[in-house]
Amino acid sequence: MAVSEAVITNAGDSNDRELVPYRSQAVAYWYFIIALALFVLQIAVGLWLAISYAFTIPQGIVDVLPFGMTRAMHTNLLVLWLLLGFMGGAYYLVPEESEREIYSVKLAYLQLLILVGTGVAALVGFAFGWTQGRPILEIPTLLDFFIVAGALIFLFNIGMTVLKGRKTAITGMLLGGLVFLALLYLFGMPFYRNLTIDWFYWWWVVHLWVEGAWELVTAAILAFVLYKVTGVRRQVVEKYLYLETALFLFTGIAGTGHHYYWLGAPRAWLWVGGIFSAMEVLPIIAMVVDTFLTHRREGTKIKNKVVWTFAVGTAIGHLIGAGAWGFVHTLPQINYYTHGSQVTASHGHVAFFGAYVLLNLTMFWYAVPRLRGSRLYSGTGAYWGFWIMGLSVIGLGVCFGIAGVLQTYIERVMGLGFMTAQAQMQFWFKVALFFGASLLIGSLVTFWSMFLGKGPKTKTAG
Amino acid sequence: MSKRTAFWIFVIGTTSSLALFLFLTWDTHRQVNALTHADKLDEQVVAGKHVWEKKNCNNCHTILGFGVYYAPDLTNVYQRIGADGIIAAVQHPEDLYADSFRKMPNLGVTDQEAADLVAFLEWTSNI
Repeated sequence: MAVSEAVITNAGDSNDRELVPYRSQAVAYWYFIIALALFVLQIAVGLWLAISYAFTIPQGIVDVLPFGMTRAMHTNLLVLWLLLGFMGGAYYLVPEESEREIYSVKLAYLQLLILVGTGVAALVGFAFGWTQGRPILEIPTLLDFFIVAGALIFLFNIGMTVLKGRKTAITGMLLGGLVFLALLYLFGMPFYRNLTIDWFYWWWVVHLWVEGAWELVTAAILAFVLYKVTGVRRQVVEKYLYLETALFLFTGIAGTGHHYYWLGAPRAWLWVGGIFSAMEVLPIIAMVVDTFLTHRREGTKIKNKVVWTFAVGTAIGHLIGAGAWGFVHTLPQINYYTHGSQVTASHGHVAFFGAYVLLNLTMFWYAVPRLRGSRLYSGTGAYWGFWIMGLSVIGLGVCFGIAGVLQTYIERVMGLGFMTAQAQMQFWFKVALFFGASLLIGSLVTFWSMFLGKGPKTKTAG
Repeated sequence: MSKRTAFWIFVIGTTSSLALFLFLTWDTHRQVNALTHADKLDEQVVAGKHVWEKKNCNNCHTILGFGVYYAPDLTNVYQRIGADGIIAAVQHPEDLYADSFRKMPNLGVTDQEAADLVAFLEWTSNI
């Protein structure tokens, strides 16, 4: 099936060092395989959450397996695997960009061990009620220090590699994003007496991660992959990298204000949050346009169709999930009715998948076949995974979206009770359960075809 | 446009947004005590916030519009069902929600913890 095959060598390249130029890049493989396994687990836990919404769970089960506990697992698995994916991506691309081996391979493995160990301890801890009790930042303070230790080792290792090697805009942006990401985590650690201040700094972590630091990491990884698979000149890729991240941070930092509308914070946030977050869609549009135009203008040939599909998917998913889905409920006049409803859940699922899951998979599909020594591999599994997962998440977004609109109308407009609304919404959670199950299948197809499937083909690319 | 120009657009764009954001953060700290009636934020309210976190309430409920949407927003629950209603709900959810299609777990909340939670939720209802 020639169409679905991905050629991953440059024409004429024929030895393995052309596939993976630096030995230490192999570290990334372990980050990727653990990350993707955790993704599968995250979806499995998500199915339980959908069941909890769709059906009545007997009191006996609720007492030992409360929704809140499993929900904490679902979100923490998400954060853990995406971060492991970013870290693996960094370990893969930095040697090629810096033109040297990773500063210390041993530290890279030690860091992985610390982070995965801490993650497992946190998940087991949740099951026994050991929690800090703040959504997404539930990890208890003691374990936070292990996370910080792991992050410091990572930053030191990547930082030393970058500083000792060739410096590029891509590694600069990546390192900047990673340092920013780590610093923000610190604001989520203390106990705040005042709940308003607590939530205020909670968003410094959550919002400034996903609409700040993570965007930098994403832009850097995407720039690297596009540079590799489209053959567009570095100068062009890096120029757009600066322009896009400029727009991301300009709109995203002050755009944090859209979380401060109803928090007990000053009214000025309504204006700043509304205006800046309305503009947050601009950098994403720029990213989509740039992805297509650069390719067309330079008239280059796509060398790897699988990776290109995922890269385009990331750009479009970003635009729909984060851009459009975010925009519809970001203005204060609308958000007054929709906040704290399933509208947010709909946005959350589509945006995280469209922006960050697909971005990670873009990098995984670029790197893993190379790390497995494939000169030519069948992209069939990758495409099946892409479409099953993509359509499932769109389905989830629609289900939560309808549930959210029902909830907003019944509770906020008609003023009826919470449970009255939930009764009307329950049908849509049953449909969501179906899409959750198909998402699980899509993730298993992806895992299987990426890490276990047939294995590397040895035939050289023509 | 050169890469150098793009770099400076990045630097200026980021710092200007950051400056506005940090100014408003300073302004928030200046006003937050008045906006949240911090004079009424006593040790029992703080103890209640600890219980709120220990029992992982926020992973089902929303408060101040934030959290999870599995169960009702509790910002104003003190005004809706009062101290007795809150204590009954957290200590005996299996009785209170026996006929409900969605259940609340019994999390073993003690009398003291329930009283602290009431203080916390009374405080949030006035924000």
